[in-house]
Amino acid sequence: MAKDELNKMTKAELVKLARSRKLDVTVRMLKAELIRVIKSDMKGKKRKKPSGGKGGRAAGAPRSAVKAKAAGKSRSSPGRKAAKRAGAGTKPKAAGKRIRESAAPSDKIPGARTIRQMAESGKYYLGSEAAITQPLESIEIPKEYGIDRIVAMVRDPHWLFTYWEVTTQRYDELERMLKDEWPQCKTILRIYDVTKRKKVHSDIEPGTEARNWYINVPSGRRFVIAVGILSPDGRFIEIARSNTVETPSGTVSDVVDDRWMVPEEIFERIFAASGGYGAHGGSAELGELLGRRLEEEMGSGAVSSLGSGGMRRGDMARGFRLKVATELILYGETEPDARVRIQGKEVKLRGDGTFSLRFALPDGKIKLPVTATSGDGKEERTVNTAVNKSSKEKAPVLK
Amino acid sequence: MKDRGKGYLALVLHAHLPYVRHPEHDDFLEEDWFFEALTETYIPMIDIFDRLIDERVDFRITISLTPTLISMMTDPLLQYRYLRHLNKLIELAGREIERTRWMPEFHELALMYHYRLSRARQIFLERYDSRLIPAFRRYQELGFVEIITSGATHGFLPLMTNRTAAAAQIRVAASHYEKHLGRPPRGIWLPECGYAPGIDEVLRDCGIRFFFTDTHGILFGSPRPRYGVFAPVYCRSAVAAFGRDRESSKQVWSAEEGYPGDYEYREFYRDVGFDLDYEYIRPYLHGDGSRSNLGIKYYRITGPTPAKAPYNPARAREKAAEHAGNFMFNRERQIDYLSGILGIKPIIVSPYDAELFGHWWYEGPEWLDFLLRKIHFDQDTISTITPSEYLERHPKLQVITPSMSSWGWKGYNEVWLEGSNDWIYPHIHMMSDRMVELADRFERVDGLTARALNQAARELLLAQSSDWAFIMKTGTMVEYAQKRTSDHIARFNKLYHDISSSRIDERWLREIEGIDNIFPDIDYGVYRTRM
Repeated sequence: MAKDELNKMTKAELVKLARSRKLDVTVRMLKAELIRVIKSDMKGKKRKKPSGGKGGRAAGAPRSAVKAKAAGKSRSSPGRKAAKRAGAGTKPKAAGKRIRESAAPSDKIPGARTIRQMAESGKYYLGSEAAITQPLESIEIPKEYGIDRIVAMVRDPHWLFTYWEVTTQRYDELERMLKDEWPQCKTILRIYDVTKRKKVHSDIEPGTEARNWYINVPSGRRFVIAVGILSPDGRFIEIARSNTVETPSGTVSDVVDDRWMVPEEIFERIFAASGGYGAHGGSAELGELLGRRLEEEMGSGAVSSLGSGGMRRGDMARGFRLKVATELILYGETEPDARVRIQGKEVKLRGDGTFSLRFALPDGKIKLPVTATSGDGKEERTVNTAVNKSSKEKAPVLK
Repeated sequence: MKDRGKGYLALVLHAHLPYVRHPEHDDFLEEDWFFEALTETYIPMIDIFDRLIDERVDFRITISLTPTLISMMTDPLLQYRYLRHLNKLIELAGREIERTRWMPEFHELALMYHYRLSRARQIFLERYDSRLIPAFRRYQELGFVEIITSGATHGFLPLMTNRTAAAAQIRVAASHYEKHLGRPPRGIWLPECGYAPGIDEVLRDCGIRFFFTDTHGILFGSPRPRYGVFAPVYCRSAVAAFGRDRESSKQVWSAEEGYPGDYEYREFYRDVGFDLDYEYIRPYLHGDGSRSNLGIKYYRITGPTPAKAPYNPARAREKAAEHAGNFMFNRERQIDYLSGILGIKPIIVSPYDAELFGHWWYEGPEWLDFLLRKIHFDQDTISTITPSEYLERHPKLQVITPSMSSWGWKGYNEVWLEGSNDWIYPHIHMMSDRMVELADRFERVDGLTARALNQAARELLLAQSSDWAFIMKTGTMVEYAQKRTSDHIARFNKLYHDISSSRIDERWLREIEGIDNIFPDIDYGVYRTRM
């Protein structure tokens, strides 16, 4: 179905169509939103079943092919280049400005602006979306940049990290220069300690494949790293040289400021009170807790329907469990203008006079009298429903 | 606040989220980070501050609002989506009230959630008209809260090799702060508390007067800090550094004694998004239908058992009051002891991730509320203070060079530089160098080229967010972090080549401007080496 045809349909028809395709839509969605959902669903199913358009009605068909999985490969699916639409140039900024303007002080009725804001934001956001083709699938991040370079970074008091790039042109030049020696030459990293006078700290031979390396070094010193060629006779031909980095001391300073001197034992006490004897760790607690938080909070993609709820480390020896809950759905219909009470409490009817309620069901007997009163108040009908529920947990059996 | 008592307590809340906003998708899982933080942390916090001020409780607290967070709070699309999110949750809470009718313990909780969610909506919409930043600005103008800034996109400064690019993180943040809070920032929360010698000079150049380091940043500084972490120090740049107190941090974070693990508190890992029948919960999940947390949680921590008992808000609230009392008592004892050995009025600096309060530790906002009230009414030993007030009263400080440090695991840079994430640096450093090169090369341009240059600056900044490296290290949602990083690298490089070859693709640029729309007023000139 072409988009034009969808455009000609009424909103109610679109909702019906979407529901027949088992899409999750509500009447509150904007028409454009509905069209988009339906379109994407059609495309999604076409991709899956190129032979026929009937897939949409199959019970097990995916509900919506629009939405991405947790970490989103399908978000950038190259096939979804949105067509350029007329008047698609609305930029977010323009819409934002409208909203700010609409917040003028004259606008005092509570909630009034709300609806407008929602409407305007809603319009804005669809408009903007129409303007966006799925970006950048064709652009890849470069593997290298074609520049001879080496960069040094500090990881902690005892480790540096370095990465480098040597271009093939440079290697070719060196090969021409070194001629017969070339096959015996090696690429090495030369680490200089430049704390005082520059001296070689160590050499590392990372092999031909490596492009980065972690290097163990002493704390509290300054380093420069060079990448280059070591010839068989021990000559070092430098290709690139890094920035200077300094490792932190990782300990309390020996330097004492005369003007702020205190007896050693007093400093000891202050140091201890500051947490000095356990200060190396940083806030491990914090990092780990937050890390776990992010993980738990968003790690939904792969979790099965039983979920990971409440499972803490070491909770259960075998990790096997069974949870059972019972819920009751009570539904029915009457005239749209009637009033319905269940257990004496009024229930909201849908537009067509239907109603449905869902309850968690505890053990025991539950009585559910349902009473409907006609719109003119002249007739009343009652159905008495009762449910008896029991559940018993048997002792686990280990086989 | 009167300078009463024997010492000071400086509470610092670091409020940050990476810039996650995806207009190109109808709904987006990661935007929930922001929505949940609003509902559980920022709106309750505003509620508390409003009440404290109304009830004339004097208090001081420092809050860092990162430019990314401010940008999201002021973004109309995210405001709209937040309301949509909140409305859905309120609808679900309403259905839960029905569903739990015969289960009184859960019924009470469903009512509580319905009330709290509706209240969040009322505060957000009616009291603040969807705009929360003016609330914080008002607290600052009234003198209760000091708002400080952070890196523009929370870039981890110790791993930046290009000093001009590092300075741009601060400059962009400072002007963004000024635009939204009406004056330049005096202080900064360095992203991840990451400091390396020299960063203070960048801060000085941007007019910033103080920052924070982790404990060992000060303790391992040189020369030795005379007062440990209980007085700030000046760097040689005359920028002040405040060191984090470990004892008060441990009280909250320690696995054994930390408050948030109390059995009465709400269990974070049990959520109706996973606990309830799939068909019933499906309309409230994201588009792809996989289960995720919805924020309605019915159980308390209970103990080291999978059999969780229902949450009891009244009992949890009592616990929060008790823990606030305990925290205050311990600070009083700490101050008593310290003032004895130091000979000056000590300052205890207690920084926390703001989302601890409410999001992770559901009762955290109540705890904070109790703590500030108790300090005001129940004791005379400590007074809360902001760093700016401290520096006004105590301008004479020792001069030391703090040590490289961060508040990440192991205390240095390893969280952001290890096997899972070290691949990003060759790109980010190259982007930084190229951005500076472009800014120097194009001195006076306008129109399309200027737009492309400004967009290149945005892409670089967004790629620098420390969050991506952090998420890669923590091991979940990695694909999102990788994709974000790769997208920004790719977009930057395309811009670089397009600008260099004078072939800017206007249509594409417009799209990218619509997606990565942070810092609408940015001027790429911040990357110029000669300012």
